[in-house]
Amino acid sequence: MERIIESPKLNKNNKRRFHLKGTTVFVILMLLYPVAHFLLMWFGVNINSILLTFQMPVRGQLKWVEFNQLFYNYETLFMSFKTTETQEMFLASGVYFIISCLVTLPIALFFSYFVFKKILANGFFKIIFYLPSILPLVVLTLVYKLSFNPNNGLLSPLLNAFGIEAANLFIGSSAKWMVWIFCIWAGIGYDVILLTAGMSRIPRDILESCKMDGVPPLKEFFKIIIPLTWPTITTLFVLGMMSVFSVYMQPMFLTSGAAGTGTMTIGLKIYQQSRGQALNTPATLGLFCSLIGAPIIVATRAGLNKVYGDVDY
Amino acid sequence: MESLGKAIKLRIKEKRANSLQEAYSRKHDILYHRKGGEKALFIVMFIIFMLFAISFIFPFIWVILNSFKTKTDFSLNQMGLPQQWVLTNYIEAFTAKDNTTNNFTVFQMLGMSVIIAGLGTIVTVFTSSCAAYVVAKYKFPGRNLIFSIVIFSLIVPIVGTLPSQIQLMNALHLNNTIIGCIFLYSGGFGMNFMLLYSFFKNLSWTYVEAAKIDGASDFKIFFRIIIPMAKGPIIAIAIIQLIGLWNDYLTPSIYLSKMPTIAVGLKALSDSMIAKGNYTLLFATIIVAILPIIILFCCFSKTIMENTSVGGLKG
Repeated sequence: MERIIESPKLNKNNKRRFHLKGTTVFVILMLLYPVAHFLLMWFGVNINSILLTFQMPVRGQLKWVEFNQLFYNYETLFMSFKTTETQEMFLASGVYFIISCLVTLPIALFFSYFVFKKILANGFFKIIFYLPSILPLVVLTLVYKLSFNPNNGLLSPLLNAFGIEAANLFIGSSAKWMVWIFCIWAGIGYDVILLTAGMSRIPRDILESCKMDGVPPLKEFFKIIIPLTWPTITTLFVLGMMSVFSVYMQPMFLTSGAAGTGTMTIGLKIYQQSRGQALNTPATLGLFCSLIGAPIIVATRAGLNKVYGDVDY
Repeated sequence: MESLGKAIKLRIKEKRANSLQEAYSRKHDILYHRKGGEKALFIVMFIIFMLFAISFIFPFIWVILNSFKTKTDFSLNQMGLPQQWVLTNYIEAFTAKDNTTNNFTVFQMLGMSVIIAGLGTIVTVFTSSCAAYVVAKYKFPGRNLIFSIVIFSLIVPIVGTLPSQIQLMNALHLNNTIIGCIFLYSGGFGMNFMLLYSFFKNLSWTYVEAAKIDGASDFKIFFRIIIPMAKGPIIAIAIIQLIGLWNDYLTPSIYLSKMPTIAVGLKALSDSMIAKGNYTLLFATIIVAILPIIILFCCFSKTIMENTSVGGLKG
């Protein structure tokens, strides 16, 4: 006798349940790794960072601090504020706000207007502005430093003609100027790329109306371009503010943050100290900077976003 | 070889036609008609731009020219053309090594960069695509929470997590391993996530609905329909990511110090070459180090330039 096995009838609800189950598995599998990675590398790292500030090295190993010395790392940090070295470090880091937000960004904004308005050979200039983003920072700093080499650098004959001793440029007080000039020189390109991309979204009708009405370029720049590019400007301003805490590679490659150069930054200090055993010190400095810097940066962002309201076009 | 030559010729021809077309449209476009003060302003800015361009190009031309000189030639003539064009620096550059690079040659360091940047790019773009697609297109409990936390993590600057990260990597025994470096790059919730999220959010759902009616599974839809549809932005993000990882110094310098990538090794080699006064070799090494990235940029300049946005590029 032939056995007939009836397949279970799939009604609408069963189908949906099956479909939902399959979709649930799909969603879980797709998010499993990214969420696990985020939990470990963002939450885990940040929580561990806080915990590190309550530890101290004992015979090469980090141990929890005694309860009566709970804030030992913070006290040590606050004590260090009295030293000239720490004061100089905070000052040197603060200068990057001026460099990024008040020098590089306005220059880049002005430059990008001309790239956007298709200045002659703008395609070539766009590539030039891309170069700092394409080339490794190691190479850029190396070529920059080699150009000022006192013995056989590219600019040494020129500098000698003006009576400037190229030998001293990366040592002593002139070193910080060399780092700042580099940051502006190499930083303009990155800002120009993003600002030009922001400007390219401005509707053509608005620009044509300006042209028909005979609006001069500078008026167009201040009254039309800046308000309509404001979200990109805000983002770059905020990134510039973050550079106060994050700049470390430029001074590291150019001067190694050597004493007497005034180029040691918070970022470089954290990088250098993180390579040692006493991880509690850079973690405390980092947490202190986050607690001070994050609210300021978030508030600035919120404030800047209100300047022109929501840009919608 | 012949077909490659033809392809290059075709590409050059195409580029030339495009630039001619652009020049023509620019000439006849009302927006770019300038007179009087406006014209003068643009001329002044053109001169400033040229000076800026020269400041970037000239040092690299100087490096290239000097890389073809002998040591003696360079010491006598730093500014002029080589007396005799030699390739010895380039031959030596590929095999140059030092104790500071754990005796890795430049060639080996280039290989390390290919592995690290290549695998890192593949993994991070894949995880970002998976996360962005699901968060953008599927409704599930916690979706808004995930999105809000990701936005928060991108907006709020947190300083000094490096010591904690180092401790964690040591605890996981991932320090000085290739897999550890790639693990660090493999996060799916960075800027790539945001870019792909906005792409998927605006993507038409019609094809997916049609595929669902035909009984295709979610995995099949993702791999057979969504990924091919998102090929453009995924490739663009991958190229930008590849350049970023190739140039990255921080992660390999800390977590892969025994197997240096070219960015890390070049710094170590340059210090030692400068100390020995071997500048011509250093110049050749610099060119060898940046050549792959320049070639990549030349091949995909249009894609890169059209798709660059915040956070996409930074050495």
